Amino acid sequence: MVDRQKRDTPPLAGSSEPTTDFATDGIATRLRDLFSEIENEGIPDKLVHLLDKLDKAEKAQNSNENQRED
Amino acid sequence: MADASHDSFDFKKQLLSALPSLRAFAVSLCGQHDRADDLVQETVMKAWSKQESFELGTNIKAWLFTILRNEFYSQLRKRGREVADTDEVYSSKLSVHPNQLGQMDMQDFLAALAQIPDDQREAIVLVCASGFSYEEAAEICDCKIGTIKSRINRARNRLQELLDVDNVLEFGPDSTSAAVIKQSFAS
Repeated sequence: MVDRQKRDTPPLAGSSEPTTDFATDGIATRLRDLFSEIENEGIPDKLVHLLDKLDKAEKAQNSNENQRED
Repeated sequence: MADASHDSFDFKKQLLSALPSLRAFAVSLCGQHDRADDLVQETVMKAWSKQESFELGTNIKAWLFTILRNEFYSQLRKRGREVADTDEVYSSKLSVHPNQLGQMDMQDFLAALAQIPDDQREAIVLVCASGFSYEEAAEICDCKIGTIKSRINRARNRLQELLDVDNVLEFGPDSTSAAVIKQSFAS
């Protein structure tokens, strides 16, 4: 809980300070809770499979190209 | 040749590590998990096909969020604004039994988010939940920092009204149900 009170990323140098203290803001706290709740749901299988497929297809293509070069 | 496969391995790994946040952003924008997952899937395919345009050493999360955001708006334009969206969120919310407070809370918040304008919603989610700076959020949304700030302020005020935060925290589930009824009338 305490960790969530802090912003993950401090504003970049040169950007202005927040006009409101989001850390103690009820809305921001609930929004962060909602966000981390969704993050903790994990990644749906179909997305993991999609990435595997894309990765395999790319590797296959690369090896074909390399064979042609050889 | 070894370099190419090494790069793609890293890209996949970085993409995977950013996926939970990307998905949370999608759910916040869409208000629905199934549509959000479709949006993330589109984003992953787009990102993969243009991975050469990603500059190593820059923030991959910001890059992916920008792609997802563009995809979200282009789908919205294609489909036309669906008026039924908010209703869908409401009906799913009202079907949740009040004793599932955690679930209820999430649905409450998503329903409230669905009611604020798109530009305000993305601004508050990017800065207050995703941990982007005002500057990064302005870059993702292609607008000025001051615009992001005023959108966040307006979003906060509106969400505060919709959720009646103080009452919910003070009185628990009963006032949560009351808030649902109140919001239904307000919409």
